[in-house]
Amino acid sequence: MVVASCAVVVAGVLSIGLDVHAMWTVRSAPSSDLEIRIIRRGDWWQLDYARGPLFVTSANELHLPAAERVTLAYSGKTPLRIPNTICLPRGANRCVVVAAVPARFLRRDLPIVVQSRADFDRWLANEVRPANVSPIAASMFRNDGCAYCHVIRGVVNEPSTVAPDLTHFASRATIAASGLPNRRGQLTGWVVHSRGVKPKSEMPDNAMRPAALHAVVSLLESLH
Amino acid sequence: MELHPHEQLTIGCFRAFVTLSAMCVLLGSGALFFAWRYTTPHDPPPGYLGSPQRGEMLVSRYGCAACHVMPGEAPRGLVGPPLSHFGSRSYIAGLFPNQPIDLQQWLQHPQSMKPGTAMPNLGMSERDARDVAAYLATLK
Repeated sequence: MVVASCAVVVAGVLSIGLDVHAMWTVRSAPSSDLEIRIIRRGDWWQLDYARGPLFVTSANELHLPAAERVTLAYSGKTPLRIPNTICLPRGANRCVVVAAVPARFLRRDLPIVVQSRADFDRWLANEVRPANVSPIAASMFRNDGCAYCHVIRGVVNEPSTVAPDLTHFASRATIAASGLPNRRGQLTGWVVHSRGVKPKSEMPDNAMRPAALHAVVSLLESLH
Repeated sequence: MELHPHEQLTIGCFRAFVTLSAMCVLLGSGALFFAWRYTTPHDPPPGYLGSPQRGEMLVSRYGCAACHVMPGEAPRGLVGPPLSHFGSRSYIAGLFPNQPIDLQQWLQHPQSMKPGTAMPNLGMSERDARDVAAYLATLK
């Protein structure tokens, strides 16, 4: 009885201590004007990064600078749980987090990459650039149906809310918002018959001629 | 110190319980080990030089299951033919006899062996191809 009540008290003090520590971390971290909007769309994630005048849309892999205050805006009721951080509320559907150390969190549906400020800035600068695609690959992307749902900035520029942005697809570690590694075997199967990999996927089957299939896979692999 | 009979009985029961539990754990883990040892293929089938266990690990690394139905793999790929009984098949890709050398070559260079096939070159090293071939050959 005594032991149990002691354990409860210790646990309570510890959790309050951790909360206070986290709040203190959030308050003492340098602020930044980075705001990330996290939008759940069907079975994938749209991620909008805004910093001052800079704005870019990405998908399915959340990048955060370490040890810096970042505003998260999210759709839906519950904020996204990010390991080792707490979400301090800032109005409706917004909060501020500070991710502690550079790390990779392999959430199954949304991998989170916490980077040093320099690495994050390099990543963001690359993300803002439109893709460098050859004219042949660009016309294939436009004409073979990919562009009905997907966007590669530099090829198709109207934003889409139907399917993930693919502008820098090759720089992501996973595909399909499902934790599947971004390698050629997995990617080829995914492009042809996505429901074989993820039963609830909304991407239609693409049983194209093998030459076209390999061209599409090469295009995706070139989008660094 | 002299113990009361009921205390001796309690201690005796406790000892018997601990001994029995330990024996159960030992026997159980022994049985599990032997089940594992004799149901998973540890030796490559005749003619194959690679390691089937490493091959099985590589199958999920290279993502074979994204296109092929594989035993025990989660995605159920329907893009290419199922490989569940590949070791009993006569031909590879309808073109080559199902033999160690042909299978390794096929795994490494499908595009040059059968130009225009939907199976992509996966950049598989020679060692990896040997191990994957040894694993596929165990799927009788």
